[in-house]
Amino acid sequence: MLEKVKKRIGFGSSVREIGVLGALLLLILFFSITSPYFLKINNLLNIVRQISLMGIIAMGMTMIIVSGEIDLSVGAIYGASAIVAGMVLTNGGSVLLAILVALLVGAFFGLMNGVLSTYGRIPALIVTLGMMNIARGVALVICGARVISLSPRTVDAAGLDFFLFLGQGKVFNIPIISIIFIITVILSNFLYKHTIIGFRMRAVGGNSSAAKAAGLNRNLIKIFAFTITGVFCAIGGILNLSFLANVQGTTGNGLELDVIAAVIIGGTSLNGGEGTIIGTLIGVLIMGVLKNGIILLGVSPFFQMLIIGLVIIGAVAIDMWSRKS
Amino acid sequence: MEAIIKFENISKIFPGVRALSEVSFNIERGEIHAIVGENGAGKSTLINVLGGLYTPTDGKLIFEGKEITVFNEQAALQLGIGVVYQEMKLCPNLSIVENVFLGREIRGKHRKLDWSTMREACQQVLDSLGLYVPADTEVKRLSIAEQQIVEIAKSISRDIKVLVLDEPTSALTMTESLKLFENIASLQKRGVTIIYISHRLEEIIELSDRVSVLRDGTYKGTFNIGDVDIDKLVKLIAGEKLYNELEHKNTADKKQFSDEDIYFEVERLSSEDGTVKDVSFNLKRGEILGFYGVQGAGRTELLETIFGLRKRKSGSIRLNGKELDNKSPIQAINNGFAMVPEDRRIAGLFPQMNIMENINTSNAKDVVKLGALMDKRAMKTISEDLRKKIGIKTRDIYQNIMQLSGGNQQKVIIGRWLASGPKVFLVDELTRGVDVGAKSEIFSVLRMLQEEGLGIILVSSEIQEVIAEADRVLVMKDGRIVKELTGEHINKDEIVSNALIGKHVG
Repeated sequence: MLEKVKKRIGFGSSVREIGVLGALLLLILFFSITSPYFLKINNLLNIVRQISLMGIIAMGMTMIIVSGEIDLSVGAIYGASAIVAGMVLTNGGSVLLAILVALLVGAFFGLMNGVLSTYGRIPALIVTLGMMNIARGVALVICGARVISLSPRTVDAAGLDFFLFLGQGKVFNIPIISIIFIITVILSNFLYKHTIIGFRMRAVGGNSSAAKAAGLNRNLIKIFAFTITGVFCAIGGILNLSFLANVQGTTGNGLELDVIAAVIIGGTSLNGGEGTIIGTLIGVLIMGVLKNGIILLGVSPFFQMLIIGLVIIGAVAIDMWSRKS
Repeated sequence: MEAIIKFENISKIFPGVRALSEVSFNIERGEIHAIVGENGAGKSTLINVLGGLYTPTDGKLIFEGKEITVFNEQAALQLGIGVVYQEMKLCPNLSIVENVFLGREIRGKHRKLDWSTMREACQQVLDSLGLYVPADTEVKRLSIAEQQIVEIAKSISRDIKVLVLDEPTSALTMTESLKLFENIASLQKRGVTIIYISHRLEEIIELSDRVSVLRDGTYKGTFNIGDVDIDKLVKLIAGEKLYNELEHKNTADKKQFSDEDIYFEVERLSSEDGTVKDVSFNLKRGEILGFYGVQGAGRTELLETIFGLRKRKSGSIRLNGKELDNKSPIQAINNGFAMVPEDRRIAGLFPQMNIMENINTSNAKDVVKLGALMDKRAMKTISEDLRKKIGIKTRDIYQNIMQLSGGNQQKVIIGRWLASGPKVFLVDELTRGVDVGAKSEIFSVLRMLQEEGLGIILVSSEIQEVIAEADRVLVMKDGRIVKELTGEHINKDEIVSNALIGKHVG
């Protein structure tokens, strides 16, 4: 029976996902015992909303890390595309144009990351560290360190309502942000598990020389992963702008670390070749539950980072130790 | 003669595997003692017990009359047992002297490191081993053979009594090997006992005093070298049945082809880095064309140039009369080429993937539908078919590739390339790290493909393999083809003499 289940899941190591899922369930159990508010439906929806933006980007980051690369620029791209969308809107552009331009900006930065780190032969760590500063710089230059606010005074009212609905609206009490997140998860999972691109990402990250000898175009695969991540960053940035109705040059600062942490907690190996979208989804949920639970327990928010740091190291340690035997 | 090491009923059990069972024999002081056996016979396990990496599950290891109870590398070194492992343990970024004295640095005044004393001592040892390079040289600048001498220097500068060499010649050229043998002989004269592990039986016959045989973790006896020959050793190592299979193809079986069967031609091919020079040859339908040469003769490089992994400088390749570009493996595969790489771990296996996935990496046209979707049903059918055809021994096609034996891993790689539907099959060191039984299975797969009309270019540094399997042999030296051998000329003498002293003609 278990064999059958394993075969069904087939691609990727289901055992690790089950381990991470166990950790998530334990956390949920712990917080539901220690806090009466935790299991309330509103709180759960709150968690899902809070993790959605970070989660969308984590889907792309999983593909990059599985391909054997890393991207430090996601937070900055997220900020820059939101700034660009805000500028278009406040300068009389339509909602559609704003979204389109922001998506293009995200795709462009991602594409640059990919091209420079493959054909340009510069390590991705360096390229994306540079791109982090460039994208952040672009954002600050464009907005001149002001806060860009969306209000009826600055944006055409009909368009504004629609735009704000994306980030603040709900369908059947579920935030639209979260619905978009769930759609992203489903699409990413499909891409990763059922298309040749996902298969090749795992191959390239698992053994680059073998991938070359097997006739795979390693560069294109990596460029794809970077570019789609850029687009996901832009989607996140647009939704964040819509949710808050404002954006500033520093929006998304440090987001990349949360994203990478969620991917790693979800069982993706930094060495490449190994990891799943579902694992990352669980990793994102663990981050969300932790942050939310800590606040509910009345623990100082300063402890948040400390605890998340321990969880990152702990999750990888357990994985490494269990693999050794 | 007095025994310096006594193995008494040594057993080593890993979860699910009995690597050694009740092995007992003696190593005598001052002898060169060879240990032979196929892969998985337990040689490495025994060496690792001796070197202190493994603690035996059962039995006694007695060194100079005393039982060893603590098994770790430091303890073994202190007793005077030095092991030069196949995968060398040097820090490439450090100099020779830094490596030799690593962990036991000599200190002078104020506990300052006394490099000049260390350098002098190190230089002396290097000189005695015939390695005339400054002790300050960074290890990464040395050739494999030189690095091996540094490993030996590391051991003997500690005044060791027993030196263990694990497959020392597997990466050496013939001249380098000869130099190693000289060093071994002079160490023996200085009273060092040598334990020598090798697959190369010719070497063992020439070099050692006695030889012990292991098979499937059990001890099969120790013989004075005068009492055995290669045939007898092969029988002892492989067991009767496998030995017969290995001899399957003899001169009479070799196929003859006419020029009409030529379908693949290489003309005046040179690589940009100069490792392949002006190589011309042809391949006939259904032919196994063997390439032999010493390390560095350019065999692997030739295959890589044909396959687009190495840049071509000049020359042309033609398949069925059509000239081909093959600038990258992608192009080469599209043009109908397939290549099993020299080292499957580096350039063949996808370690996180299962058998099915490892097979279906290079046949996109058969397993992709609607542009990008993976057709898992097709992947499964292809894998199951190949599993039967090639005889991959596995629980199912969803097993992770790293759980297979070397021979079965190699069969999966062969399967990958068969799935791509090749017209020319390039195979490089097909049976490296594969045990005797799986070897003969792999070669029967090659023969089956040959029967189907596939032309196969076989590169191997195992001369027996080339003699047994190839219909025609091209001998390479210094990047050029120096000799073509057919029929009865395919024998060891002619191959070796041409590989060593052959001259390029034309």
